[in-house]
Amino acid sequence: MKLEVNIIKKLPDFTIDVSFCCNAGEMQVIIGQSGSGKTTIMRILAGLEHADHGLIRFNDTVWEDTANKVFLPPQKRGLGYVFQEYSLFPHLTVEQNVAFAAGDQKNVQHYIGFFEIQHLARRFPRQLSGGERQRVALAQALAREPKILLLDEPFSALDFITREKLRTSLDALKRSVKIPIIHITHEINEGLQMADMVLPLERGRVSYDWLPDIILKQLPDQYTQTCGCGLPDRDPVQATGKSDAPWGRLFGFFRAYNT
Amino acid sequence: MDLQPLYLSAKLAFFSTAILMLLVTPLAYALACFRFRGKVFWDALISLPLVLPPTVLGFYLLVAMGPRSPFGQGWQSIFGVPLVFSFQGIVIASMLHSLPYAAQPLKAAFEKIDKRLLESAYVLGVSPSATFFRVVLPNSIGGLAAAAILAFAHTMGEFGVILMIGGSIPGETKVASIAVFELVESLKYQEAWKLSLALMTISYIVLLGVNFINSREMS
Repeated sequence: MKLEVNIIKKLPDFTIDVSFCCNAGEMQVIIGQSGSGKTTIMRILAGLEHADHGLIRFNDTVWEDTANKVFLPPQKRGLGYVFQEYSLFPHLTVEQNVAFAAGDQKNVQHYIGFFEIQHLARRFPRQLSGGERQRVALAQALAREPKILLLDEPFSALDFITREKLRTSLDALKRSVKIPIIHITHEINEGLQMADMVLPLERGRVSYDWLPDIILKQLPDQYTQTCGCGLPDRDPVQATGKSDAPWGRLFGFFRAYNT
Repeated sequence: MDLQPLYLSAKLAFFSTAILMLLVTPLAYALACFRFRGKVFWDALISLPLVLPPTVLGFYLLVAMGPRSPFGQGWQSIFGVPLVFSFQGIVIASMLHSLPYAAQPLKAAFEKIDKRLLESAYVLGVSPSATFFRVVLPNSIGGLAAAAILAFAHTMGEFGVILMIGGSIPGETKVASIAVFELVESLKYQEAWKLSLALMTISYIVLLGVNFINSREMS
């Protein structure tokens, strides 16, 4: 299982232009400061927003291909998505939330056990702490056996100890579910601790300039090899749309690549 | 005291509220959650009965539903009876007159739903229509109840539109408010007093219900 992403999205202040891949069992961490475009990338991956140009492919299924006007709605992407802020259904208990989209009741009980939330099963989200809610959200996302897990700063609102506990759970999870995991965060250390691959983002583009030297020296080479999956590297001038070269040329290449 | 007008008012309020809620719920959801051309005009049109004199609305409905209108003729050809001066006629008129009273609280309830909940459902593979039933409606119970209660209460006290469309046919269109008017006209104050008190009590209980729901929502 492999996710391949090559997208451009124009925002009011800058243009997102990223290309990366993530294999099953790997965690691709996108690190960036607030407002660097991380969440927009995640929303495009989830199908909650459209890319202006580009291609997203999961195995042989094209999720979005702007050149051929292909767009797969979020319902058909087989996602597990944990949002930055809690988004559990307030009218359902913890158990009902986890079972909301689960096909198999065994999965519900498995993940309720995995995240140690058995004692919370009959409570409603408003009766939970921040860490408990995020554990429920993770169980909910995984109980439907997603093809890919998207984590949008799931620990940002948590205290240090709760965050460490959840990180440990997530590390164990990464070993047990062999699916690609995309994790975005603004916490550099947290990202590096968990990542198999790192994509440092600044104003929508991959950039190492903003990373502190001490961090750069720590980065193993394999962390940053994010585009080794065969997607074409793009001319940055084309990518910003400033070139006279027609878009068709760029995306014609994607079509050829698809076939 | 003749309880038939009171019973007829309750029957009218029940049917018009039930049908109105079925029709207005998707309309209010569309106005609250979707962008479409002419939305602002639809919004104003739905609120029109709030400011229009009931006689004006009644007059237009009389024209639109009368035996010479295409709608009135179509109705008569299907059901064999005219629409005006009938119970069915005043149900339709009441629905239109109570439309904003049901639509506004519903719209407000739908607007209050956190859009992230809808996105959560979508990324979990749930279709938009299933999301409406599984997420939106259960989280709008307060708005649904408030809308139904307000529409019911408003219909219970309706006068002008019903008089224009239904007249005052005992057992068919002579609802409590019209009966009170006629009792006063014929100087039967004691009976008018009793019927008015019954109507006022019902209305007060209904408004207490709305306040109870609102206070629960706030807490």
